[in-house]
Amino acid sequence: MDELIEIVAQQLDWPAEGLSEHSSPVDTANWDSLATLRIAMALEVMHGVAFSTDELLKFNSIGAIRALLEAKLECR
Amino acid sequence: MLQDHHSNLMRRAPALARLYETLRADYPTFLAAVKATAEHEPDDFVELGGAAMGWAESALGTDACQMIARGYGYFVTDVNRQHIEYCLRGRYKNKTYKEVYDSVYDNDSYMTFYHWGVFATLFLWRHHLRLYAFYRDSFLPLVAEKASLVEMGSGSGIWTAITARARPDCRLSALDISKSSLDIATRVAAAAEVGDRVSFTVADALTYESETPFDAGLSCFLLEHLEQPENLVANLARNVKSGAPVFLTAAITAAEVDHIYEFRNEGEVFRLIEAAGFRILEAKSAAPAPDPRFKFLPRSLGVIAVKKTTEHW
Ligand SMILES: C[S@@+](CC[C@H](N)C(=O)[O-])C[C@H]1O[C@@H](n2cnc3c(N)ncnc32)[C@H](O)[C@@H]1O
Repeated sequence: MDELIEIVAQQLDWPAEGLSEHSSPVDTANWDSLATLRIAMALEVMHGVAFSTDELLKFNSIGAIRALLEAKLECR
Repeated sequence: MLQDHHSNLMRRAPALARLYETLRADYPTFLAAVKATAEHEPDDFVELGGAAMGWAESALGTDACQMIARGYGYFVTDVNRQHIEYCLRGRYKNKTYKEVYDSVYDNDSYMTFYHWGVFATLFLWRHHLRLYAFYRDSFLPLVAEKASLVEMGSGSGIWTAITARARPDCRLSALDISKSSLDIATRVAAAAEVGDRVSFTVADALTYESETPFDAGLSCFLLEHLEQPENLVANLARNVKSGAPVFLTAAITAAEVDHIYEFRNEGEVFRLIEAAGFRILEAKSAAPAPDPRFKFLPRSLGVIAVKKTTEHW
């Protein structure tokens, strides 16, 4: 199972099978601004990165989060 | 269903509907809470949100929705982050007023986003809308006809505009220590078409002295920003007449970047207000739905008090 989807599922308390690249706060239960922050914090701990507020404001779908995370990991 | 809701909002409060649409399209993570507010407090949401977004659009032009959605996004993200850290740490970050003044109040670009963020919380947060309704229904009727009011720490001027719109017979003197706050508030007052009855002054609310005392006073969300909030209440008491009604709000166990004074319960705020010579008439403590994962429940308290006319205990 995809690691990012697992993390999002865990933070949203929602089955991973119900999530896809396109899942977003608009169509996913429990996905509010606190959940976004918890997803970011889980990724920060796991990958030793830090997201700025500007980046957090772009956490608009699982695909968008993946792109932001990958860009960060590539920069290292 | 969503479509119905949106077209209804568009009809009743078009500027608010545009903000809602901007949040949905560009800042979807904030939509759930706003939707809950719209569902639970539909009339007050439309009443205040519609009016305030109308003022914002005439103050900011076509950028208003983006500016406010972004300011709100920044503000809420910061509040969430601070709250998580606060629940782990058990106290506010140990900041002095000077540090906050330099990094926040004296920082123009930060202040602009910040103010529009705070501005929006009054109608986008369900518990803040309840304080607005409390102010409108319980405080404003106590203000005498043709009264003069003083407002300390007016910020974006949202309470100033609400008051002046609701009470066309009254005049307001609003103070703030930050010049950029007053620039925004001046624009908001002009947009709300109340500029002729409101004066704005750069002043420190702790030391400001009016030549003639006011008939009523208010200070919203300033107490928790001060090292010694008792000095604000004492100075408010000095600047209003005996018997004058005042409205004060305070944030309780609610961490934000510029909150210095940690009120732990409603009683602490009451005691502070009483100690300055006021009698408490009514209060409303409002909070978001409790989240069991957090140790502290952040809340906003509104207090209506009168300056005592006799020396009773
Ligand atoms: C959180 S904002 C609240 C603004 C507004 N009352 C509201 O509720 O939206 C606090 C405001 O108090 C102002 N402020 C901070 N210290 C002050 C002081 N000593 N005297 C006057 N204003 C002050 C800040 O510049 C800021 O605009």
